[in-house]
Amino acid sequence: MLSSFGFDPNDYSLYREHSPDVLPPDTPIHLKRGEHFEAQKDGRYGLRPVTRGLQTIEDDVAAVAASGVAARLITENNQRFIEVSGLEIPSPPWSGKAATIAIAVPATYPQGGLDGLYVEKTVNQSGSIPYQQSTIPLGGREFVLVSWHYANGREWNPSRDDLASHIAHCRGYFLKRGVR
Amino acid sequence: MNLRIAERHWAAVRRLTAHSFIAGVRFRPETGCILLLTHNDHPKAESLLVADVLSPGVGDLRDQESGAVTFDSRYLRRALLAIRDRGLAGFVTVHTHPLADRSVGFSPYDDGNDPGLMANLHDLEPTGVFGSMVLGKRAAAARTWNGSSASYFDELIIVGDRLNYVRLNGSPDDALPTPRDIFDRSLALTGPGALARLARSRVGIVGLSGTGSLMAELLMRAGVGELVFFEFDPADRTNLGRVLHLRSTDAAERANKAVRMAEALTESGLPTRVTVVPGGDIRNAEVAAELRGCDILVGCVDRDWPRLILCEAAYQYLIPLVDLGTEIGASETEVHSLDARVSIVGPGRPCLLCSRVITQERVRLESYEVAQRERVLAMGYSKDMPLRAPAVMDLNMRAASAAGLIIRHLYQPFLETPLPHAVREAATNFSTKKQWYRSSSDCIVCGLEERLGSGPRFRLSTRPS
Repeated sequence: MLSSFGFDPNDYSLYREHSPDVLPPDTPIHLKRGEHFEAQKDGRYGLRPVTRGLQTIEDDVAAVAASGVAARLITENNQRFIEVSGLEIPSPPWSGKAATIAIAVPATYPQGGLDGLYVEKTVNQSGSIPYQQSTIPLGGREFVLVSWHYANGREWNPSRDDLASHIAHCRGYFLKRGVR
Repeated sequence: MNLRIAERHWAAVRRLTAHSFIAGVRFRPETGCILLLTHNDHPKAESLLVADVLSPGVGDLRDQESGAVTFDSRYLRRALLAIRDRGLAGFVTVHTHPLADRSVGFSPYDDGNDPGLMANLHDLEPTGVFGSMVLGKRAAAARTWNGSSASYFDELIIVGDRLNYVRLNGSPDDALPTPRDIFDRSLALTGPGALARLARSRVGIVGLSGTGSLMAELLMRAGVGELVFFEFDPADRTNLGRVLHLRSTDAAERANKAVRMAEALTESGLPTRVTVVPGGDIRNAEVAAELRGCDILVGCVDRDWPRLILCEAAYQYLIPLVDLGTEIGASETEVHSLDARVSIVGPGRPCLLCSRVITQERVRLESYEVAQRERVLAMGYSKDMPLRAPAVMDLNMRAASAAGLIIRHLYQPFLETPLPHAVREAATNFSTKKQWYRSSSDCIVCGLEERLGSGPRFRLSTRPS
């Protein structure tokens, strides 16, 4: 009945008017003149759940973007990066209150996990960036590779970790004070 | 078209329908269940894959006391919503005929009712694939419906410690074919029935260098019907010491190793057909898509990223993977170890990550672009990237020989069972060991229920398109 009136049974359930009891699918119904039925939609919220480990990086970017993080996927010389901007960082010791970071994405994501980060050279600590490695251009701006890795025994786990948890891991770098 | 199912799912079907076949019981009810399906649409090897078995709940099967079984609409609806929700291709109802043993067929009652049910299901899900299966004690028949006409499946392929084949026309196997005389001396290991199945099989060999070229030769002479080669690397002079059939002119011309191997096999005049997949690099999605057209995959690569893709294909498309590797441990002054390994991967078995053949770090590093990989390696934390590994044909042959026997065993068992997860030979001290591993519940390759039989539902870890 739902389908014939244009309702998707995945989203709607059928009720008699004023009845709290759902009419199970395929229940035989003897219609009487004047009888009313109501199609009640399910209330679904949140992001479409994707099993951890089977999601794509695009799924993860959409998920963190939906939670208010300014994240986007960019490609530079065939290497994909996630650029996260407006990341709040403590100032001092950092020279600014927000940073832009980039995270290299292996083609095998999520099995090949995320590791480390690049920091745009707009912030620093007393003129330098801790754990600084090589510098690369990304989208016409300069980013510095930072040696910031998961601890032994707490490596990237594709069934639990994702872009959101890695951004949290990267924030740890900015929160670590006074250590070189 | 074939129907492929993991051994674990088939065991669930037999368990759910066991009441129909209990010996010595006066009344044995018809029972049933529903198989949720994905579709492998490879043009040369189209098949349906069982992604899950939907068990009946209380009240889902009715009328069993009257010598029939009715699948309640709520049960069918659960299946329909499951395939919509999970993006699957369709489902097959399974019911039993308790009195049938070595042959079974659909009854006139089945034939009378199936078209109406299938029409209803196609009304609800026009692009869905729907069908039915009937089980006897030792036989099965299965069909899919397109409009009002049914077409029967060819075979049910049960993928586990071996490859079990069940004909799906309701009859036991046809009379065994007479094998060609060239296979006369191998019949002790691979009898006429297994040989006939080998002759219908497509075996994919990924990597046609040291071990791959040997595997191609062995499998051709074992009677495999079609070999599918995946190789992108051109020949060079360093290959001449260990790649079978490679000539110095091939190295000088930087010939494609797969093309050269195909030429050499064709020259032999044996019945095996050879297909060389253009491009040959399974890290590219369009090349990896050809993996799903194979009945068995043989991994002969020395990199972790393609091995990961092979593992994913094995679980998603229910294809056994036999992976080979050799390792020479040597310093400048002495040889410490000469190891040959064969791993058997696939449904119900741990993947190469869980058996520690490949590591997540190497997978990540290999799947960065070159410049990014070099930047990361320059930091000095990643010690796990292998350099150009030493290799010799003599050791490669140890691995290829073991793998060849294991592949024969999949068709007709003669090795000790259950098959270990890997066999490792240490040539320096003449020892061969069985190795067992545990699938990690955290593993997203072999520990993830959703991946099994999921077919094209999830992308393989290939380069982004």
